[in-house]
Amino acid sequence: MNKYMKYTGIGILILIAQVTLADWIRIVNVKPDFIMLYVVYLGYREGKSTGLIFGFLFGLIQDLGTASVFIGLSSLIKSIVGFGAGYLHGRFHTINPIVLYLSAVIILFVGHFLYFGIYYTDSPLGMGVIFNQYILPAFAYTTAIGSLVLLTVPVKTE
Amino acid sequence: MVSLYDFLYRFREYLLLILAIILSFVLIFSNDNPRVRRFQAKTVQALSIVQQPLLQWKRLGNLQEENQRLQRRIVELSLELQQRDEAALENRRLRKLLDFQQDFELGVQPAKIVNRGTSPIVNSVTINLGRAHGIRENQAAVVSEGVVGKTINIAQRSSIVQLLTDVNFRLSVKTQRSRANGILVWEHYNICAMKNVAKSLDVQVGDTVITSGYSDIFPEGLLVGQVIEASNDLPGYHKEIRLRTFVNFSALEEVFIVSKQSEPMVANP
Repeated sequence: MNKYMKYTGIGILILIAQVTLADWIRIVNVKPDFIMLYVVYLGYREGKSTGLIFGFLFGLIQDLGTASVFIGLSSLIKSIVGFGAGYLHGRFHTINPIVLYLSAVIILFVGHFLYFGIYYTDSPLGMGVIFNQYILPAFAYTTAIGSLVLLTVPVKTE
Repeated sequence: MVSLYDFLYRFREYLLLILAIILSFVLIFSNDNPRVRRFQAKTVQALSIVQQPLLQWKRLGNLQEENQRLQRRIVELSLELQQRDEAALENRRLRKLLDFQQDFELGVQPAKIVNRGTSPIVNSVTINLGRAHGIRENQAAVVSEGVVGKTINIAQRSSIVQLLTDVNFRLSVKTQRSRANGILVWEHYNICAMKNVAKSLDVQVGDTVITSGYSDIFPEGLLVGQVIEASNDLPGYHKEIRLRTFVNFSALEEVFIVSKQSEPMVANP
């Protein structure tokens, strides 16, 4: 089976998990972003272009699947995240795994920071409130889930 | 000389990134396009097919407890209704004496939440009523604890309700006791700010906040929340007021869509 079809199939399953499981395990109003994790993984596995294209498409579906006031925001952020994660492609043997992991965490942080930063641009909330109550919890939750997956599923080299 | 093809091939990843960014911005700026909104409504409806059985299963788990709670509530409400009927009759009599215009009678249509969206934050929900059930844009969504939001995007058999917890949601409100008017803006979790309230007005902690009735969407007197902070510390002419909503947005399972009685409503399928 074509690997891109496989990625699309897995992506659809992750999208279903985002619609069902993420809502099930949400804490107050914060849900983990499985799709962002998957886009980071695809960027790391296949490089910038694949990360970017899948990021754009799944981000778009994510935007359309909710009454988002910014259709296009998730596709924008996930394209950037997928592209950024593409820089990690092929680095498994050249850089320390901890540095690799931390780089992925930084990419996740940037993704959450941009998403919530833009989403709440017009809100009366201060940056401190947005950071403490949205960016940080969502980023921490997504990273925790990602780390858990990383601990249980063996990392494949490219 | 480097050909255009070589240039495009060499920088293809960056060109793709630029293209994705441009496309995303085009989408962001065409959010009000009815075709985009229609497509969004259809996608939400498709995703709700996946989420609906799970929510249904979750609901079944709480059914017995919910049933007991509702029976108790029915008794409480019927007692309250009897008292209100008396008050309404008196009110109507007095209004007639004062030659007031008759208020609209309101009707409600129960709706189940079938999708909470895929966004990392909950700011909208999808309900199982749509155009086929007489739902239109800008109808108030409420629960017994108060205002939940309004319908913003209607598909044939489902609609998106923008919640009060959406950063772009604004609601005209007033305090029940002193009738001080303001604009409600959500801040975080179930905390909202009440803006544009003059410092000279009397607002105290514990005051109940209700809808003002100045908008065409929300009828007057719907519960919103309770003031938890009121001070004159801000520079300028306005008070700093915060309130806690009565509605627990993270536990919503059903909502009621408010219609004026004169508007056509189709029975729930």
